[in-house]
Amino acid sequence: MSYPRDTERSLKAYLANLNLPTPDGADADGKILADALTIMQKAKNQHAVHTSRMTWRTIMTSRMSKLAVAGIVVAAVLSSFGIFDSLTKPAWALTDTIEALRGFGAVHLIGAMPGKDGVETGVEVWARANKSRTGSKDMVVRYSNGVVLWVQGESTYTYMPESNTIRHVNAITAGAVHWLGPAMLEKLGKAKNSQVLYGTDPATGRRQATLLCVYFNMLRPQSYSITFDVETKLPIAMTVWYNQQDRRGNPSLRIWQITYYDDLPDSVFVVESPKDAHQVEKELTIPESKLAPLTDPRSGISAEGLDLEQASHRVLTQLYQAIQDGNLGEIRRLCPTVADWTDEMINTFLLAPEQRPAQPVEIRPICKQGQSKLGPLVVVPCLIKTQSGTVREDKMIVQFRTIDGKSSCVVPGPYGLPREIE
Amino acid sequence: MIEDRVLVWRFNRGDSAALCRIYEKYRDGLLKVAAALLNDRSGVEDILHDVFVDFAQTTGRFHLKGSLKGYLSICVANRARDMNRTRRRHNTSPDEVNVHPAATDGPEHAAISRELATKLDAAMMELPDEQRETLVLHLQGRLPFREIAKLKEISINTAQSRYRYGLDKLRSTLDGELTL
Repeated sequence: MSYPRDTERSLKAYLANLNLPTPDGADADGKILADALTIMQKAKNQHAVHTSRMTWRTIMTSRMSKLAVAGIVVAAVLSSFGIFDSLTKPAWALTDTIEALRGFGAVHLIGAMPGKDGVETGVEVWARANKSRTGSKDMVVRYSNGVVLWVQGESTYTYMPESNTIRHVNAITAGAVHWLGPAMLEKLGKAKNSQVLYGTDPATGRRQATLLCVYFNMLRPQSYSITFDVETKLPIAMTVWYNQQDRRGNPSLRIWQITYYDDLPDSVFVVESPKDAHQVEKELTIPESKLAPLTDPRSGISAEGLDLEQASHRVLTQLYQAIQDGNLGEIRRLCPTVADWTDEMINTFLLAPEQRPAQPVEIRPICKQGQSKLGPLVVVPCLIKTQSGTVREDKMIVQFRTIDGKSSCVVPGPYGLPREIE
Repeated sequence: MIEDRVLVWRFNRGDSAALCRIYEKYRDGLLKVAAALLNDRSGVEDILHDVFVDFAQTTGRFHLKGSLKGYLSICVANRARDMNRTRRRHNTSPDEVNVHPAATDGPEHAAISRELATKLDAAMMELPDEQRETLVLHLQGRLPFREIAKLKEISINTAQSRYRYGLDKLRSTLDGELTL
């Protein structure tokens, strides 16, 4: 489209040279802000601050995987919690930290976590972001007791030296749920009772800010202490307490060194395991303690007359259609593990543009089968083109059950983390 | 953009510093948009006041769909339109209250003569509201057509057409006088 250029140019010059009548200057600003802040304060009192949120449940039975996930998630995501105390003038701010983190596509963490006997085990994590920097792609976690956990392609491996065994799971069960970017900001909504303290590292003399906050993951509190370097704005250390709101007792994870990289060579993520190690496939199951939501006869669809492939295809097609349509009732019915989520939680975590399919989802053949107390379990890969333009693969679990002699199936949730297709 | 999301997030949680930052960040740009849209430029601060007071009232429930700058610019445009209509009803003569653009050289933009500026003032006032707003939001507010279309809930073609018709009308009004 072309416009009359001379007119456009003249108009631009006219607009650029407009004189603003601002005789009152700072007084006017003061009045506007004072009135706006008064109104804001009144409005604030009328609205309860909403903080409790949940994430889409990820079924992970490995404690190490959970902690590894927690570690990297915390480092890459929660480390960016901001300063919420509006009365102070911070030496750094959340926005600075986000900007500072933005340029880094890889991270290296060194720390420790308590083992079964309560003795701390050293842990080292290498992680690299996916292309869209919405989550992690590659990851290696090395424990000081010799256990190594790594993500390769769409599989997760754990080498256990005691048994000289490599446990394989054909899903990504360790990684960052969010890396850097707008999705991360959703996490910020979960911070509670945050407090910022300033100090100086006696060893280096550098100014530091420490953020203390509580974050609710699946309605369980986790306390965090995250230290930022004031000059670089980057998080440099962190401590996490699971199931704690007040940082009591031994921490669940301590990271005392965080190094950021633009990228890392592929070789960092290649793990050489002993040649004589034998590989075992991790069984697919759901612990009995988590089966209750899946037993409601009103949930799911009938699987009468259908084989596992046909029924799982049908229930997943319906579920993704419901997500695409934003049909909350249908989502709750087909995926009863989210039945008790509020509308806001479903909207935030399942219906965001980066989650929501833009077109019918490609349901692929079953890639894994297992069993729970309720009946057969299958895992089905689903290829999703999202409304935000990315393409990802979800591996979804379908639980079959027989209630009152009739076969039906429901979707408990994803098998591991989604994988971005680059 | 990401800073705005954070500011809005903080604003929704009642952080007064976030509101101050939003004000500081967008005040000048919004004043310019208001000045370009108002027939009586003495009202620009009133517009800014009303827009920010209205915005402050939405704390806790404000949902940012596009850009914050775009949202606030549209609010200014809507307010300016209302103010122009109100003053028109009260028969205020534009000639009495208009503040003409400066005739000095701008450092980055070509200066225009006072005479041409006066004519452009009058020509802008003659434009239909929607054309004038599109011109100002695009050139002064630096909003892309896509965003104007989204915020105004019109098609991008409509936004572009309003812009083109606005320019055409200015040119025909000022035929032969547009040499800088």
